[in-house]
Amino acid sequence: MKKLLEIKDLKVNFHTYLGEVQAVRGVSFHVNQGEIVALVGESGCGKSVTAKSIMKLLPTAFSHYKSGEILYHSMDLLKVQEKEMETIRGNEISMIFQDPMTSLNPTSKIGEQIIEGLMKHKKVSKSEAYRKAKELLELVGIPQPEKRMNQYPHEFSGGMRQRVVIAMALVCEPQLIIADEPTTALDVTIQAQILKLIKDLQFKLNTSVILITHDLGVVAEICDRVVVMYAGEVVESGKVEEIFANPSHPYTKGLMKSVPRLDMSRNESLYSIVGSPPNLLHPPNGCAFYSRCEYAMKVCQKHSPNLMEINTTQQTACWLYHPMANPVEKESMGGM
Amino acid sequence: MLKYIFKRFLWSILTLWAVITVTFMIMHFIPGDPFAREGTMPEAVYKNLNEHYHLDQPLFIQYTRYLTSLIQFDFGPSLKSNTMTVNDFIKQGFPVSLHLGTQAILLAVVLGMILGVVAAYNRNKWQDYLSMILAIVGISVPSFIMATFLINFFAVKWGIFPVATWKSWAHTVLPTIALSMMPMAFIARLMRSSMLEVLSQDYMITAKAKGLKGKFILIHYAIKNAILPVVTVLGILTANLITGSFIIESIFGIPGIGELFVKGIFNRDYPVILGSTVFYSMILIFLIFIIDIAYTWLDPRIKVIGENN
Repeated sequence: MKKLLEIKDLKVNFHTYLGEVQAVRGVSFHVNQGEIVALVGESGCGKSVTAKSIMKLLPTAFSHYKSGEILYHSMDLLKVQEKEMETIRGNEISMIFQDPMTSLNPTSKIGEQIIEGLMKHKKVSKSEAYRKAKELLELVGIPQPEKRMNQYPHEFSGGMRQRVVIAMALVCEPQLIIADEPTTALDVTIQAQILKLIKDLQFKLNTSVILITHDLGVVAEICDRVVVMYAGEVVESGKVEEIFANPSHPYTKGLMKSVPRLDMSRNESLYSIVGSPPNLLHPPNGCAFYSRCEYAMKVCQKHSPNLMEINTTQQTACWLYHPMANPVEKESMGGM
Repeated sequence: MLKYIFKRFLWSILTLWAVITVTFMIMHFIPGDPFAREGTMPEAVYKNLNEHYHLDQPLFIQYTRYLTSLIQFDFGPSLKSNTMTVNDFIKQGFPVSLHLGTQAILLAVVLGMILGVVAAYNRNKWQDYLSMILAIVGISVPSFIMATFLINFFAVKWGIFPVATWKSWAHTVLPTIALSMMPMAFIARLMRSSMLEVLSQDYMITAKAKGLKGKFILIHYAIKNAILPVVTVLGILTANLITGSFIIESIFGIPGIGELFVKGIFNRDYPVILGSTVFYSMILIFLIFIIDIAYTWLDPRIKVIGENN
C-alpha cells in the first residue's frame, strides 16, 4: 500500500509565560492511501497539535516546529510556503473539527460556506458549485438540501451541523481527512450515525482518514490502524486487531482495561490508570509513563525507549520489548 | 415585517409624545419666562406679547395647542425672531449640519474600523499600540481643543485649508475632522475588542482550514461578525453628528442647527427648545429603527418577533 502521509520525528513547542511547553516530542507515524488511522490518547497528549501541525494551523505567534518532517506525497509540508499551503488546505487535506456548534460562521448561509472552498480551489462556476453542494448534503443525509443551503447555522441541530461540517470537508474530494474528535460534542445515537457516515464516505471515495478520538469503541468499529499517544509521544502503533487483542505497551494495556465491559460484575469497580501525565514544561528524561507504570524498571527512569518492532505491523516504545529485556519480566505481563 | 414596522411606528409616536410632554413641562416649570429678562419693557407690552403668543393661557391649553400644531408639522414661531419660524430655522440650518455630520460619521466609521481591525490583527504589536494611542487621544481631547489645534496648524500656520465660513468643500475639511475624532476613537476601540473576540472563535480556524485567502477571511468571517456592536452604537452617534454640534459650529462659524438649541435655552425661547428637541428625537428614533432593521439583515440569528417561516 502506498504511503500518503508520513510524519517523522515531529517536535512542536509552545512558548508560554512559564517557558517552552513540549507539546509534541518526536512523533512518527504514517497513513496509507484509503486507510482510517486512529490517533488515541488522553487529553493533552498532543493529538490535536499533531493534527493541526499537518495542516499548519497552529498559531504562528507562539508555536514552532522544532524538528521533523511531515511528508505528504513525499513533499515536506513544514517547508511549504504559506501561499502553497493555502492550495493544499481544504483541497487535498481537509479537517473536521470537534465542536460543530462553533466551527461554522454564524452570519453566512450553509450553502455559501460549503461552496466557498470549492470555488477557490477548483475554479468552478457558482451554479456548478451549488449543484455539488446539494449532492453532498444529500450524501451526508440532510433532507431538503436545496432549502437547507439557504439557511444559517443556528437553524441546524448539532448533529445536522456536524453533517454540514463533514460535507464542507468533503467538497473538494480531499485525499486526506483529519477528523478531530468529530463526535465528541454529539449525543450517542448521532455519534454512531456520523461515524458510519465517515466510514461509508471513506469507502466510497477511497480517501484516507486520521480519526482523533479517545473513544476506543469508535476505534474498534471503524479504524484500520491505531496510533496510541502519550505525553506528546507515540507509545504504540499497530493494526486494530493487534492493539485490541494483544496490547503491548503498559499504557495501551491500561487503556484497554479501563473500558467498561458487559461481563463486569456489579460490585467490581472500573479500572483506572493511577496518577497523571507528566508536565510537558519539564518532561522527564526517561520514559514519560514511568511514574504510572506497573512494570517500571530501572532503565525506564533514565532512558526514554524508542519505538521497537514487535512484528512488521506493530511497534511499541517500551523497554520490556527490547531484545535484551529480562524474559522473566516480560513473563509477568502475560496474565493481563 | 410590515406588521413589525407598523408596531414600531406606533411605539415611536408614543415615545415622541413622552419626550414632548416631559420637555414641555420642565420648560414651563423652570423659573422665568421668555420676556421676563427685558426689565425695561413696559407692563402693557409684556402683557400684549404674552397674549400674542398665548403664554397667558392655562398650561394645559398651551400644551394641546402645541400638540395640534405639531401634528401639522408646524413647530410654531420663534419668540425672539420677528420673521423666522422654528421650521425656517431648521430648514435653513439642518442641511448644513446634515452635510457636515454625514461627512464626519463616514470618516469616523471608515477610519475607526480600519484602526480597530489593524489593532486587533496585530495585537500587542506597535500597530496596536499606535491605534489605541490615537483612540485614547480622540476620546480624551475635547473637541474645542482639537478644533483650535487644527485651525492653528492647518489654517493659520500652514494655510492648507480655509476656515471660518461655509462656502466650498475645502471649508468642510477641518470641521469634519474635528467632529469625527471622538466617534472615530470610540468605534476604533469597539471594533478592536469585537474583532479580538471574533478572531479567537473556532470558525476562524475552519476558514483557514478550508484554504481560504486571508483577505476573504477578513471580510467574510472577521469583519462581518465583528461589525455588529459597531452598528448598534451607529444610530446614536449618527443622530448626534447630523443634528449639529454647538461647539464645532461656533468655532468654525458654520450656520448649522447646533447653536439653535443652545441659544433657545439661553433665551427661554419655548418653541425653539421644543422644536429642536422633537426634531432631534425624531431623527434618533428613525435612525434606531433603521439600525434595528439593518441588524436583522446583518445577523441572521436576530429575527423580527412574530415573523415565522
